[in-house]
Amino acid sequence: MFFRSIVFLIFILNSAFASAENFMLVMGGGGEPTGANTIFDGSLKTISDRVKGSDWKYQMSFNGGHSGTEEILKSHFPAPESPPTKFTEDAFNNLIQNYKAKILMGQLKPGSQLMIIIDSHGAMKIKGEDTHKIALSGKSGTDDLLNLTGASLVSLDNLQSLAKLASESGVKLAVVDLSCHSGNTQALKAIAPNACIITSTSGQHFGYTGPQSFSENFLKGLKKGETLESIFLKARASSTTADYPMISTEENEKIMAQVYAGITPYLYYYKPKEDKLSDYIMSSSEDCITCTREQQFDKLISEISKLQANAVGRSGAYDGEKLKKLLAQYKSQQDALIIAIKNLKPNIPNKKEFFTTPVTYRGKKLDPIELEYSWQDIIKMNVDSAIDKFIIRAAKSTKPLDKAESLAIADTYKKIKIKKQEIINQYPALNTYNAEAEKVLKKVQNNRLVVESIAIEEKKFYDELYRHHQSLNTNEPCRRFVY
Amino acid sequence: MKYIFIALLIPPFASAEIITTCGRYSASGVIRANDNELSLVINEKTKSEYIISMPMREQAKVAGFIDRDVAAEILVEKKFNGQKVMAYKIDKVELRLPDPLNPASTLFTLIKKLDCK
Repeated sequence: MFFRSIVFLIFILNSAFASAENFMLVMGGGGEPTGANTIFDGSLKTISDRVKGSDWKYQMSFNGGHSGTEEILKSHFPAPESPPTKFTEDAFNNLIQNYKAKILMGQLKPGSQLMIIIDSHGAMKIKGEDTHKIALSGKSGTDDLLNLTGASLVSLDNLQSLAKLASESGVKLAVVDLSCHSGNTQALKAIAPNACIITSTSGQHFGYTGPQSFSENFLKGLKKGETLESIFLKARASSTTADYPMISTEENEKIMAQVYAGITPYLYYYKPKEDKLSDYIMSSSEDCITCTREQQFDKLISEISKLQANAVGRSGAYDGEKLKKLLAQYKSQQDALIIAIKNLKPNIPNKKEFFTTPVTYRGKKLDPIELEYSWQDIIKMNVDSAIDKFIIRAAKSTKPLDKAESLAIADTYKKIKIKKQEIINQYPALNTYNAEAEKVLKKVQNNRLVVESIAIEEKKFYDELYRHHQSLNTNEPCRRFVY
Repeated sequence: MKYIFIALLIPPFASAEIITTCGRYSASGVIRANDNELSLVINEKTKSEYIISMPMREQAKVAGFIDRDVAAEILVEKKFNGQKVMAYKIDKVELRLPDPLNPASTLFTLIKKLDCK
């Protein structure tokens, strides 16, 4: 009886997994300027090569408005599950709903694989978001590659419900986000622990297209029988761009905790429209952050040295000397910029100012509003926003006491505003500081090549660290997802 | 022996302070505003997020720092519900330089434990 039950169970499991299928959803191509082609054409062709002759069912929601790209969609993807759509917000949300329905209705069975490839421009994460936004079909966002100002955007937070459902129902899900700032998409892991999330870069760096990029190497590496982890590692090791590809494994998590903060500033460069360096140098020109910067650098160098020491005696042992040298050189350049910008700052005394405003309520004098701030804080304050907040609150309030206090607070901030202007008048360099700092930063000119040489060495370092941490956990979703 | 093993498994961040009692705390976080109030948010958008509300007059002290990172001392006098805390007072408010590479660097430190009122 027991033997028969086992045979029956094996039969049931076999039939369940025999019907497990592979689905691929490709989305993106948005935010590009007008013209026939887009920067995503190359990767689109690579994807078509990978699905041709495979057992992967695929569906596309891509681009819209670039004739060359649309021609690739038509000619290179002959058998999509349904005709390709423009990559609009509705199309994106409908596809998510469709795949959720497929899971709920059993069309995507446990054990089936769903790979979502996102290949579009990506913005930095903003307040209130877990992941980040990517560009849709339509307007271009390439004049501001940090925020994609001007482009129509959709948040990848919308993927959360699908990711959660897939993770809970045994469907193997992989989200491959190849956009800029895609590291933010790693946040999906928190609600979909059984999903594999691969991103072409971190949340703070740009991603790239082209033959040397991680994105292209990853797509080219999609070969039957290979795990996503293995494809990721090979693609990362062979790319030469200034990105920081990430994977949702325990090993990556350990590397992040160990060295990510340290390496991040040395993957920032100055180039118009791609400038990450200026903000970093400006914030680092404040005193306290410099201590952190030094500590993080020392920790990074120490981790490289430790890894070198561990590798001693092994054939083809890891050598981090070139990376250390390049980092030290770039750090000196950044230090010089930080000092130059610090020197532009007027030396404001650390004086304190006291502000008071009486509060009258129903003819009685209550305790006044009393605020005290240093000059340094006053010049950094957003006083207009404070005034507006409390004027609006006074207008909306139905309680006379709240109204009286709100108006008194607004009046206090009006006094602070006057003081702020007096300080600025006394130290006119405060007005010109940003413009002068910008001049200093512009002198750097395009230093992307310097950063790329660091990026190449960083890839070797990451690869070695990953091997150092490598576990044998066969349940790791990126190890279980096989192309 | 078992206890030693368990102790080894506890990750280091588990020892980070949380608000568990009334008292005076030093706290660093970010000031957020909605239509009705200003609050100090600690460990924003993490599982250990705390939203520190405060009376109107205390909100006045942080009104110039909306969406900015600050350090302050807060006085918690009443029992609180989960991760929403009402501070009776907020003092020594000053702008803080966040570590851009380690945004989770906001924290609490208990300065003095007090009985809840």
